[in-house]
Amino acid sequence: MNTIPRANENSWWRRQRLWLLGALLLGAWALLMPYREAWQGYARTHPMQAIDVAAGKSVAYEHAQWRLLNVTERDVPGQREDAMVLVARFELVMDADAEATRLDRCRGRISDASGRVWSNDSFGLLAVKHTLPASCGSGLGADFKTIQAQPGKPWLFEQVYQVPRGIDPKTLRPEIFLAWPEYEPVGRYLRFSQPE
Amino acid sequence: MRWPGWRSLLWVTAGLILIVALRKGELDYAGKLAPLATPGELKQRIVARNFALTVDGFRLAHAYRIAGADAQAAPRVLSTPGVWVSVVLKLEALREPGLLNARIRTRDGSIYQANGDARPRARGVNLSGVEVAPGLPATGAFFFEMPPAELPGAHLQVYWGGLTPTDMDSLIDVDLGTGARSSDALAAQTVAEIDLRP
Repeated sequence: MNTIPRANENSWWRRQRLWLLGALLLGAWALLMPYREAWQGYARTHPMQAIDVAAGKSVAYEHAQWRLLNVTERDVPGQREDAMVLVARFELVMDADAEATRLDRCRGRISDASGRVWSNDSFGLLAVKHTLPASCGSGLGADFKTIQAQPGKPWLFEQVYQVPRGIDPKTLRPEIFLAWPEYEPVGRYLRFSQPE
Repeated sequence: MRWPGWRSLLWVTAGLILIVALRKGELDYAGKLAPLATPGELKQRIVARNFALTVDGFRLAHAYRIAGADAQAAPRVLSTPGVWVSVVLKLEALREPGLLNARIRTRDGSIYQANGDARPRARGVNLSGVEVAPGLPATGAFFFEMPPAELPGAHLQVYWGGLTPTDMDSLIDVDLGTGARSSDALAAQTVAEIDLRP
């Protein structure tokens, strides 16, 4: 029995459909892979995705448990009049496989609800007298000897921020991140809500 | 061998035209790395992606008088083979803390980078190396040394970061308003000395 072929059955598009599909997939891959690589490269030094930590709760991050204890305002002489100094205190408990020197690479900042951020005074420019170590993994103890966080034992440290006056300190959220090439997961950082 | 039909040739030709057009429209290396520029004028608050500034004006001087190295040391006079240009402005960070740098771009495209914080050493005035944070603006001046003949048509350019490929961001370009003025008129405006001591 003779059948009448449909007009488009032998069209060029139909005959080349596998090649076309392959070219489409290859094109998409060629666009997506460099984008993904660039995004990951950027995320290694720029925290992009927050891990929100509820007030008073601790969270696992970078082989340790992290918890925000409190944020207090500190009176520091010689500060500019339109600014206030806040000190955030954290507790960290290292896992058995963590390294204190690695945690020393942590960086901190504090953010408001609109996304504005202020950095931790890691260079001590604000001349705040610390009552706790300023680093996540080590600090100076008695006799100026270096002390380090130990696995399983709570390690308390504090970070200092200069923010504008007029902001309710309670609404600000301290943040911690490790922006180094080998940190995982790439681009994630901790954002703590403050205890009441 | 079967020759390709006219339709195939048409597709190939269209493809080639597209490739050539895209290649020609592609930015060159410098263009790809160029910061996002926002133009503006004196006395106007100019907002870029992550910072804003207001340029109050500029002053020209042959020398600065600055404090000595310590409280007991006599004041020093800092002169230049060209002319000192101090651009007075207010800097605001909008999203995150950071360093802003400045340069002057002349009519012929020459670039004069702002001096560092050691020339002149004027704490609280020289904005070079001063970090700005959201809600905590910085006021002061950027200082430049340049030939007076280059001043007509000069633009101030303030940018976030270091203009390197890894930290390229936004740039604000401010016309200093010297385009219509002659070198002689600007020379007449140049004072012998400005005292930068606190």
